[in-house]
Amino acid sequence: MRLTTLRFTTLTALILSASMLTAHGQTQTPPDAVSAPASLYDAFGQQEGIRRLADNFVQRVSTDTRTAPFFKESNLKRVREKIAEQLCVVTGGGCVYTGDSMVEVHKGQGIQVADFNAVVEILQDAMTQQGIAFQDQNKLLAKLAPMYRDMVESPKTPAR
Amino acid sequence: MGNAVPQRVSALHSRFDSHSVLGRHLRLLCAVAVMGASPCVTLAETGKLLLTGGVSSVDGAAGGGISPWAVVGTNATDGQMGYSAYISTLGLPDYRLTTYGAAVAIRNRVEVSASQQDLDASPATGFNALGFSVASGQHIVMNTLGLKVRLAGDAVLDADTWLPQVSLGVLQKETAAATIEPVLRFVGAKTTGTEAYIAATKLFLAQGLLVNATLRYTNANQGGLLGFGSAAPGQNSATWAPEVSVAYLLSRNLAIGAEFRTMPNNLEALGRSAGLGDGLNANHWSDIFVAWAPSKRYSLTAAYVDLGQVVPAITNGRKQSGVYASVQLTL
Repeated sequence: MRLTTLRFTTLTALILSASMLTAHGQTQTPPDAVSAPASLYDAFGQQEGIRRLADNFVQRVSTDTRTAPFFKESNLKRVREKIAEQLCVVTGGGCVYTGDSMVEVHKGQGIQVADFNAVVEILQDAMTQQGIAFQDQNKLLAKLAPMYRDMVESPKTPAR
Repeated sequence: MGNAVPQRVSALHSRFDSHSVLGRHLRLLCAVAVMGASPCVTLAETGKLLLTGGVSSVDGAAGGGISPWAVVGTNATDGQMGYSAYISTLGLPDYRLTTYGAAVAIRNRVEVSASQQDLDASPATGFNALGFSVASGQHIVMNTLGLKVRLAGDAVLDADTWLPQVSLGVLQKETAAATIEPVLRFVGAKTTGTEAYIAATKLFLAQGLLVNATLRYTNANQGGLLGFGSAAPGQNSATWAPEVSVAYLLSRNLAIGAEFRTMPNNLEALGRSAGLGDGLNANHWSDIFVAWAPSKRYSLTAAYVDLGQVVPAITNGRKQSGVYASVQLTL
């Protein structure tokens, strides 16, 4: 029985070490979703890569049957620009986001968690197509995920 | 006490039958699952991200392989319903455990599960040396009805806080041991029991690492397969048994992990006083696993599981470890 405990502890340590190594030494503090080491910006291909990702992503969400309805009336050019700005800020590229707040942009559209998750999957597909490493994808998603609170319709505010 | 040899008359065949309470629940769950395919229900096709609903644990609740987690199973998120069904098998040196079950999830808030564990307990004929009449190739069947409620948090999306997803769960278990039941009576183990647990799960998204801690209030012997409680003084009441799981996402649809589940050891003292030494000793359970979800609909889990000694008195103290495989279908 002592051997089993030792084996489990060793395995847990191995798994934790593996995850730490792939974190590229990034310190795990509860992030405020504002800044990150420049390395993530590099991993996403800096300005050029982020612009390509934003274009790819917007092309997908505006045509995917799960999410297209939400973008029917959108100015897609502006959406592409603002998303590129947002991604630049979040990956530590030093840009300034000049769009409206997440709450403002998504108010009254009746977005559910399932819709949010569909968008996350589409973003994952776009990042994968661009060859971004899985661990780097997750670092970006970790910064974007909490935004669901500003985007998803709460039971108290039904869609208009 | 000591060398008391109970004289058993022909065994009562209290086999599990479909008229028992849990049997009715199992059929009801299947009926709901079938009805749910009708168009009036929103099927959770795209709800959760892959693998974030966990897999079906051995008790039927969503989680790891041997521990229930705080995650609510299936793909259901707000406003949706989800269904899952699974079958698993575990081959050990002296036993084989086959489990199958189904679960229904409502809106990522409530999970109802039902499962049946079927243990090939052939070594139990070893008790016949004590005067029991265990039939050859006897199986022990345990039915579990589970209810889990998510209290707070989102294990995946709350990535900017340390706060985990927390859920409360109850597992109602009923064990049918047929010709082994006199043995359970002799050791004072009841054939029905209730377990409660609180679980906290968090996916550290930036690291792709999931951690779960579960605290289970239980007096079950070997998870309930050998009944609940014990006739030994002070060994009958439930205790808090901690369980820990970690899982690492290698890719969107592949995860590896390890689990450790502590077990009560209520029967060891009784075994000693009955002259069996540590023959009724129980060990903690642990496993390492790989979970693969080729799509939202299917997942496969393979694991190497170590249950430690399971009734060493009739298995010559052999460590019961072996390969586990499970298939889960989710709608």
